[in-house]
Amino acid sequence: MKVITLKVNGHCFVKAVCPSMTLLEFLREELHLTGTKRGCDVGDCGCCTVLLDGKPILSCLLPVIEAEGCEVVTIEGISECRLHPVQEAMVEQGAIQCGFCTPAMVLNGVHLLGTHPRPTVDQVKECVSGTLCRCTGYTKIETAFLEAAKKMEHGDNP
Amino acid sequence: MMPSFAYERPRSLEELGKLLENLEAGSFLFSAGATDVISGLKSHPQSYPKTLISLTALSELKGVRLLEKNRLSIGALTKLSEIAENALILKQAAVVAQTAAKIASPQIRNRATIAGNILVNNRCSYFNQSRHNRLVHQFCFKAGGDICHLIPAAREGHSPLCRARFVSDLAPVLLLLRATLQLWGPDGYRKISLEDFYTPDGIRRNNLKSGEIITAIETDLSCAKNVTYEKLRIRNTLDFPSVGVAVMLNVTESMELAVCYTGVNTHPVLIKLSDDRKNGKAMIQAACDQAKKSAQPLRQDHFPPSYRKEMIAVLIHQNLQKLGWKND
Repeated sequence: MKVITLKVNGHCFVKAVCPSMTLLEFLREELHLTGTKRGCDVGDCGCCTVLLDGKPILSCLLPVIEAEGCEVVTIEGISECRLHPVQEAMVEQGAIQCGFCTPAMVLNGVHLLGTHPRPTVDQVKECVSGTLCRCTGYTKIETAFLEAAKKMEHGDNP
Repeated sequence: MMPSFAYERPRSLEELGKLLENLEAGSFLFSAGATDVISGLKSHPQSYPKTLISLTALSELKGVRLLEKNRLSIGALTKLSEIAENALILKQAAVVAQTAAKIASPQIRNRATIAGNILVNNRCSYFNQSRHNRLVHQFCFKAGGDICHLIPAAREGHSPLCRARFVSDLAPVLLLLRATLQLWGPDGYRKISLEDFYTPDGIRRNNLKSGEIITAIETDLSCAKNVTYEKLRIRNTLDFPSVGVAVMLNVTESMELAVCYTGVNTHPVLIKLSDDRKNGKAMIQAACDQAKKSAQPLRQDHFPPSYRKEMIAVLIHQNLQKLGWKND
């Protein structure tokens, strides 16, 4: 066991962890943040995406010990009290069906709009390309991201 | 959860050297971006190391800089997403940045490193399976068993032969840029050209000795503008290349053509041709013929072997088109 310090959704945690524990297991089983989903668990599906120091990564492939000193943002931490514009747009556009990929998709969208406030369709496609959605066919998710960009441009910020 | 292992994160190569003195060969595993290592461990439980050594804190392995004699050094820990956006690489060797930008998915590129891509494990549809699938079938040579599901002739009793295919995207590009690897091991630094680095054995894969790591990749920039890379994969994201082809075309007093393909054989295959008479058409045909002759695709990918073999020539021509070559 090793003691590590890391920040999750703005809160600092000091925990003793086993080196073979992944960040995904840490989030779900130690912190009970079950919004981050466990899909394939080998890096194929992208459902376990979280933001590590602001960039989307796969939490199933990262030993939590490697996240020592880093800042993690999960779906629970992207906004307080209300929905993030990306989430709102996804609800409005019907971009959520079974919902299993949704937390990952939203985090991809949040990162995209943070780095590219006016994304092109190609940038949106590239952004969702690492996360599998077997329900929506991606079109509505892409529309939702573009709509969210418009919302945020008009001052609707989380 | 994965079975437990010890974890070390040395802060310098000196510290790593001391650490390795007390570890048995084969009992430890290096990791940097951890994407290939952890996904491999999850489906390959018998390969668990006693110790996982994280290289992420080694500052000696970081940074991109220009060297003398028109060479570029890329630190082994440089992430693929950093390579794709690095201004120096984009200016001096855009093909490396463009290739890195098309590897795997955005999430993986944010962790995976250049050295990790050079060392990425070979793949086979019988090896890259879940633990349950492997337990039902027998473990193959690569998984530590004594059978090859792919080649009946290599069954029990024969010498272990593994034909898992090589899938690195960056290796063919770096080979055409005459890259050399700077290695560090318990015996100190050494350099090896990428051309001498890979072996045709799908299990051993390369000439890295136990305890050795890549610290930097040095590439030659003199022909970097004349190199392009194209690949075939089922989806335009995430998948490893079913076939990937890099081409270098250099026309000066003589004509130089080099082709390197990946995703088919157990190692990247490099074909070099030069012609003083500048008979381009014949040279390209010769390159395609040599590629076709050397390619040994097997049933270990979504695309059938014969199709992947044919696609090498198609991708050579696509690359040549990108390089501005006109066929007449």
